[in-house]
Amino acid sequence: MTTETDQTDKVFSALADKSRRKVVEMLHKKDSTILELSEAFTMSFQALSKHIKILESAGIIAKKKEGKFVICSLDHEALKNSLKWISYHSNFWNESFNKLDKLIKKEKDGK
Amino acid sequence: MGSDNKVYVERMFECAPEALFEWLTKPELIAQWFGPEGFSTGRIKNTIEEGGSYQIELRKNGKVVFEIYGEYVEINKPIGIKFTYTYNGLDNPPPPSVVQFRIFEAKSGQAMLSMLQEFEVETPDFATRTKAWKFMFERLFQLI
Repeated sequence: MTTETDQTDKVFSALADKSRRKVVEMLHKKDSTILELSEAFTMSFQALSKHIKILESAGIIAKKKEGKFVICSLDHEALKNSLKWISYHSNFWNESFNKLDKLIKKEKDGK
Repeated sequence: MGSDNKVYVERMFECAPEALFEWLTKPELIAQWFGPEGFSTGRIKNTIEEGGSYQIELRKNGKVVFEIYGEYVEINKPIGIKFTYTYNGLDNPPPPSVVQFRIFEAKSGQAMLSMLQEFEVETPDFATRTKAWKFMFERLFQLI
């Protein structure tokens, strides 16, 4: 089973690469075939396909077949979860500080 | 409160800044509060000096899940600490970040703590690289 955390880890890992970020930026502007995407890169078609596979595995992009072509599009839901990850850290500190607050109050009351 | 690549939390504590500084720096005190609900700390090591390192294990149900480690970048007793913050033990760890604690004396017997955590890449990179990305993140924030 893939948890939301696993999925978010995958998203961050996938987006750590500059070329993959460029793919995502391009798909944000419009859905494209791999061939169309490859025109913006100097890397081989095969290398680009590998990057696309990683983005697909992270759930960032989806592929669908239209006639002879495979169209890549952006999946905004995966990126939405990454933003939730930022709020995870906000909770991390808030909950830690709640504990600290209780400890300080307890110490004060004990004096 | 969070924005792009930053997490910011402010909190008032009923103690003097000097006491709060101790809670943030002494291993036996950090052990009692660090970590979200459901987690406890394991081994904690630190050397409180600029360039000194720290390491904090986080456990769930008695098992070490991951550890956080880093280096103290700035120590300004009792008003501030800045340190790097990196995860270890996860297959795909979150990006490294820098955490900055600032302590202010609000009034006698009360200290205000501000915590700013800034992540190095990923989300900030996306949020600032192009206008298109800014637009997309604004739209996503509205959806969440």
